[in-house]
Amino acid sequence: MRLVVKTKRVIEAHLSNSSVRALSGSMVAYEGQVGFKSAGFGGGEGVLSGLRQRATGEGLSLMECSGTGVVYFAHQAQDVTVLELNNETLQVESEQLLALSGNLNTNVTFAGLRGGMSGQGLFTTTVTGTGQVALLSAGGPLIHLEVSPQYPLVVDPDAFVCAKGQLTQSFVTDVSWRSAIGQGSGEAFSLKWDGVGVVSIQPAER
Amino acid sequence: MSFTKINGKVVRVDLRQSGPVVARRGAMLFYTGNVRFSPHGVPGGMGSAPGLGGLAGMAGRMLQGEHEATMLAQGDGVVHYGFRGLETHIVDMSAGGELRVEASRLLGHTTGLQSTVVSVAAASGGGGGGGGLLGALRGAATGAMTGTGMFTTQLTGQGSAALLAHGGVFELQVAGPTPVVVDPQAFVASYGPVRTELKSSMSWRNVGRTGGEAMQLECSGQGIVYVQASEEKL
Repeated sequence: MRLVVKTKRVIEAHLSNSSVRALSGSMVAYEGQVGFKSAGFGGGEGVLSGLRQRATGEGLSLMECSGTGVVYFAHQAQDVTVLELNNETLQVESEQLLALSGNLNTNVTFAGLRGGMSGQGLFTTTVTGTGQVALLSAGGPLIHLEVSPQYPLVVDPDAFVCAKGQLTQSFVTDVSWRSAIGQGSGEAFSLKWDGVGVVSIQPAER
Repeated sequence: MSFTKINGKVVRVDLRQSGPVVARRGAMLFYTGNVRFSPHGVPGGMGSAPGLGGLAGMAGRMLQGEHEATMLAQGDGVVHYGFRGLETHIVDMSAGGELRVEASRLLGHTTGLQSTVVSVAAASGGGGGGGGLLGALRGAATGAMTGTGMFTTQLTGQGSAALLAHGGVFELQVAGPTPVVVDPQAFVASYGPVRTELKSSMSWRNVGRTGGEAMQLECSGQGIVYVQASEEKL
């Protein structure tokens, strides 16, 4: 299985008797013999995983495409990026996940008390293993920002797409900074990243 | 050849070179020169698919809304068109070419192209979709389910057409024994003798949970299919 960027908004997956998991409904076209079935969440299927999705708010609904041929994926005209994971862990906002190769594992982990107000959920999705991940970014290509110990990074949770590396996440409730630019209450959360790694954001807020 | 892209979303046409141009009403952005705009008739008025004329065809067309208000630009000048910030794609057609596109995804075309409304069902199975009022209604039902009409606009002849797509289009060649399968919502147009057939496979429908791809449009024959990078209907 190989993911290739076809145009800046479309990726193609080359399957030769293999499978790829992708966001449900994101197939725009395919050639060859390919079957689609719901993959639930992270391989799990049925009522339980559905309940877990409801409970965690990380509403990632995947489908498994298997067979031989070329499948084209796109979603809402958002830009696509393909990342290579080499026995690494990627923390990703589940809405921005388009496709991932079959040998990667997805999981939902507790991220702390960020979601209470921002609506981004208390949980975050992690993708672990070796393989390719295709991500979506609204408003333009992904922006990769480097994080190093002396330069922690603070991002808007609504623009955050993914993070890779030895990073820890925390929440900033910088009320004075917010109020300084005239933003009222209700969205006083920011995401702070410490450590070494790369954080990617999209040039739009969800 | 007649339409030129200014950027991804705006096309320019020189009426002196192209002759009169039919375009979607409201899509004109600006023009220079001496250009007159007038309302344009219903496409497909001059003849429709066999077995679908008269009341049945009319009913289906109205149900499906395979018609957008259009305007005719004449004169000598340069007109710029764009619509809702959607990406455009230009298809130049040589004599004998045939382009099938949903009316809602057609920005404009030169008058060298003849526009008719044809039935997708009749085109796919040689009338196997069932003619008459019943067939039209059945087509309308599936159309309402999937968002693609039973009717589609067909352009034939020599000229140029501008398509609309959310997120830009990419082309897929249709040839040989294996069909190209397209999400009905992402389907923009097909060029050449391409048969399209709507499929729904029950085997993907496991306990009410499909992979989100229950309805698919199977394209076979010889030609090009244009697909957009989004499932957004227009």
